[in-house]
Amino acid sequence: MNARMKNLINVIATGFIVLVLLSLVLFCGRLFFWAHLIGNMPEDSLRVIIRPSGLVPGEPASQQTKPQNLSASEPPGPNEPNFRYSQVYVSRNREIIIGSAIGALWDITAEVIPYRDANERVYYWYGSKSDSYICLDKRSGLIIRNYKSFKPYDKSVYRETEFYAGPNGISEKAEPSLGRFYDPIVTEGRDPNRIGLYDKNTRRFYFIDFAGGSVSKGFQLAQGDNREPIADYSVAGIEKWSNNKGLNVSWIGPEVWNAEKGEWEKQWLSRTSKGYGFVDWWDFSHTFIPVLDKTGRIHIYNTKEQSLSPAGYLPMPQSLFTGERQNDVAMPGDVLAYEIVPVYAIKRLSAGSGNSPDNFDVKYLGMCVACVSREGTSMTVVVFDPNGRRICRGDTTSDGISTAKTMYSDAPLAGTILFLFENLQPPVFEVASFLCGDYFEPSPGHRALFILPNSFVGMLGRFKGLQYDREVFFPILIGPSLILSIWLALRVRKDATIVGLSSMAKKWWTIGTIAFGLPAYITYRLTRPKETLVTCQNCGQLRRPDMETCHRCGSKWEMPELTPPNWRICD
Amino acid sequence: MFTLIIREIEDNRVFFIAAVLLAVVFGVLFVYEQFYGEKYESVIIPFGFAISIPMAMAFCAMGATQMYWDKTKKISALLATLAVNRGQIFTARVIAGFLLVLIGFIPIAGAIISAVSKLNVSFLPHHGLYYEILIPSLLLGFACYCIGLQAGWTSNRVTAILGALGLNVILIPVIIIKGFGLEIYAILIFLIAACLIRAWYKFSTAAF
Amino acid sequence: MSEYVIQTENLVKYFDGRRVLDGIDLKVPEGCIYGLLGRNGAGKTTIIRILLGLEPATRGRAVVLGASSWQLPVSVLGQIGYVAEGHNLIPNYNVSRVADLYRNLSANWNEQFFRRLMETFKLPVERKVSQLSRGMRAQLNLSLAMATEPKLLILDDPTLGLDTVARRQFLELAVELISRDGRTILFSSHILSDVERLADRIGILRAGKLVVDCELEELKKRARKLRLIFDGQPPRELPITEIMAETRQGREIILTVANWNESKQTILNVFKPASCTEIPMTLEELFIECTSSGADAAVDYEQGEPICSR
Repeated sequence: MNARMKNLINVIATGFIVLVLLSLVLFCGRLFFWAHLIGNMPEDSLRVIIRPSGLVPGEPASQQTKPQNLSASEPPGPNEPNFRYSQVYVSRNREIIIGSAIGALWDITAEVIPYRDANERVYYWYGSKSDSYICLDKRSGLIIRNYKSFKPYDKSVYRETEFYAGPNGISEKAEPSLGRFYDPIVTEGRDPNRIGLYDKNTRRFYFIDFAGGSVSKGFQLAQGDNREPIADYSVAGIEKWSNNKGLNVSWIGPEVWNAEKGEWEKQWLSRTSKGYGFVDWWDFSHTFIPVLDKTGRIHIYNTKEQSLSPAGYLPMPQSLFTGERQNDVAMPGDVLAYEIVPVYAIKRLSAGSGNSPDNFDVKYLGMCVACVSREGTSMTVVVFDPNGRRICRGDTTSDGISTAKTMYSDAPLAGTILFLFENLQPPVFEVASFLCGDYFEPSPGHRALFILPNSFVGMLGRFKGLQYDREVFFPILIGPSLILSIWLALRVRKDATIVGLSSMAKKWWTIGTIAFGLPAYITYRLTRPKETLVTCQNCGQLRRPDMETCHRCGSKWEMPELTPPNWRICD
Repeated sequence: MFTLIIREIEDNRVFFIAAVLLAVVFGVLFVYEQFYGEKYESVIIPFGFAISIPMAMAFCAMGATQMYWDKTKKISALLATLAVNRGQIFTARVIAGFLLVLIGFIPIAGAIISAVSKLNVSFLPHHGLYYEILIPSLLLGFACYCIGLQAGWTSNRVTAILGALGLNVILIPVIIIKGFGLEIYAILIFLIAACLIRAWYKFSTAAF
Repeated sequence: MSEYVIQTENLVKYFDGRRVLDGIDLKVPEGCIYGLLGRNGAGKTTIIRILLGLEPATRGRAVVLGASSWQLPVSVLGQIGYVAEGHNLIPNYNVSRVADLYRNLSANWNEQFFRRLMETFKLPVERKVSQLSRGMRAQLNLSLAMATEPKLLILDDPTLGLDTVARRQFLELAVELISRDGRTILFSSHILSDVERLADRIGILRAGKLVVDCELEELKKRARKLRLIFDGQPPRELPITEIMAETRQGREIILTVANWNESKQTILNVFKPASCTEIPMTLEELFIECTSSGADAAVDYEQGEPICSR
């Protein structure tokens, strides 16, 4: 390997070291100012309330209201009714964003359940009291339900049973006749004896009843049906809708003031068979299963009628840039967090029966869907009726302005410094952020080191509004980075001429510095030749002593025409 | 080569003795906890995590010390006149450094294994999670050592100390930020390779 | 296989913009004892360090035992013994540890010879190198270098710091080593009597150039110092080339000329000096003539200003 190739490898290695270390420094700087901005987020950006929700028959039109704390014990005012309409209450905490920036925490918490072990098992449920579990054995393609029975007052297992479920049935042994599931999406219900799953290969829903020992086949999507149920980020499950801790969607049913007890009573499930109660418990979702599609559309699967009908969609929250169409449907990868809460009306079929879902008649009333924007600056909630039509939409605003904009205008200095930090990234990464921001999942984007999908320029890249806005804002956002890079490139070129780099090397260093900015400049300073220059006898400029010819005038060291004669004429 | 490696270990015996002592202490505590851990509160988890940052600093310090002493005591100037070449000297140096990282990592590995095994899902075989956390942590240890090699190649003690400290402080958060996925593997492996390439280039082209 | 153990070609070395070596073409044949001389800062140590691969040359190339000096393979390094100026051994090691290092890393270690040397010099094995006197360090360094049974021994001012007795011991050892077939020694020293005693060939560095590179006897023959006395006023200028030094006092000119030959004699005879006697020079005197700053400027002590410069 010649010296030039070795030097090139050294330059690349040095460049990578500089890039990683500088990116870490810039990340910490960005995170500091980002945390400051998050801390300055108005309270309005953390909550959305829609009241009435519109999901209870007979309620007036739903609307977003100002967030206010509704006490459970404060009586209604003299002119206020003694009932409260149902409401959707959505809240999130600020840490949702900062937590995304801590990859170690994210990886550990996301990996516990479900977990893939060395035996290729994916665990879906674990009962800590019974030490039992449900898992998928990827090798056999069977769902395994493990039961453990303990002696009273003795933790040692005295009986352990496993049941294996496939598309064709359940058995205590793993038999080929059971068939196999291929890449299923499994529900995570409260009843570990009844689970539902969607098999991506056969495109069919299945219901496994371990208690009853049966597997029933459900609805199957037709070949040409382009709907595609998906797994969410942390758990492969149809009903685990929330993909990020820190977002909480609650549907609170109607309440009536009980003057005797001095409290607001929720209109929950009644122990009598009279009338319907309202619940958002997913115990009852075995009748109606919300199914999220990869396009962001939500369907409701009626297990009794075996039908899959539209029920709603993930709403796209607002971002920093104007012109967002409010009817935009967000894909799961477009939002940092989402949560879907279906609402049902239930009626006990016979008095005195237990609380098993089989003892109730269930009606689907609609659903509440909340999404947090990718950057974590705004939140949107939409309520859908049972037919999937939008009833109401609520957004986080502060005095009528989107919280995305409010956040930056409330702390302009922090926002500006954050912008400048982003512009210390290499221009080529800025362009990549603009072009490729969509391809990164939102949460990992908060801990990106090189390409920044959640940066200002990344936000602009995802902006689906007017092309004009993109063309105007893009040069503004990338401008400081380009100006810095060009200035550094000129310095590099000048120095490269002085130290005697070849014209090819000068050209590549100039291009590289324009593309990679500050890291390239630092790399150049670390790897440039460190020979002290000497004066060329021919041209009088500084030349490198380790080169046979002057890199400026091309003259050699020995020049006969310049050798002094061996005589002098002196005064 | 063996002579050179032994020489490196003897020259830096303070690091090795400390690492071996810590490893032995942790080994004893680990075994103790396996038998009596339920009765008493775990010691190795908090202790292991408490020493992880100083241990990373020590790895970096080892690399910086090796290069700094080479410059000031002209060790390679002597060795290079014997029947060894620069490649062997450098390789022995790196092998000794990696050995220190492996030994010094034992207490940290013990803490990680203990912590993972105490997760409230006792039935889960955690093999995968062990590897997912242990391997990037070990790679980070190597990376800290390699960063020390960069900072130590100077005859100015202040530059060596501050450089090593500064670079290490910048590097350590990478595992907290990026977590334990494939990205951290890629970043750390390439970083280690780049540091070794650069250190080798400087060592092989320098005047002794 | 080249007949030359050491060969340099247009070797140039700059330090911080200052040219230390300016196109050195050095050839050291096998079996030769080469004395490299020069004033302080002339570049002797620099050449040696370049030959050993401790320092890269700025330009030019150097070949040692058939291999490029910057990338000496292990097999070649094993055949070279080196004593550095200042006797650089790892200061915090003790003597036995340094010896172990050499023992394990040498290709041909002669334990018996090493013990003999250690007994001769009476060096304390458990004492640290930094606690040894300069002379003891020199002795240790010599012992280590010689015990490796090198084919090429490079000594950079090896007797620096040695007392008279130790110096004599070193010389005897060197003679013993020389007597072994095929050994080549390159050494530099300021003690010219030692060089005169040992060296076959001499090289003298001046202003970055190798101004002398020949056998010692040849040097003595070719450099001639003459005392010329003229009856009348001596000629203002003698048209003889390669004048190394010229001093004038009245009717007397003392001339030192390089490469003295018949044609120069003929030219001198034209001026009919009344007397022309040769002044024999020792190596020391030759060295001074070659390296002093007035060597290429003739000085008229009566006028007190240079007449010409070469």
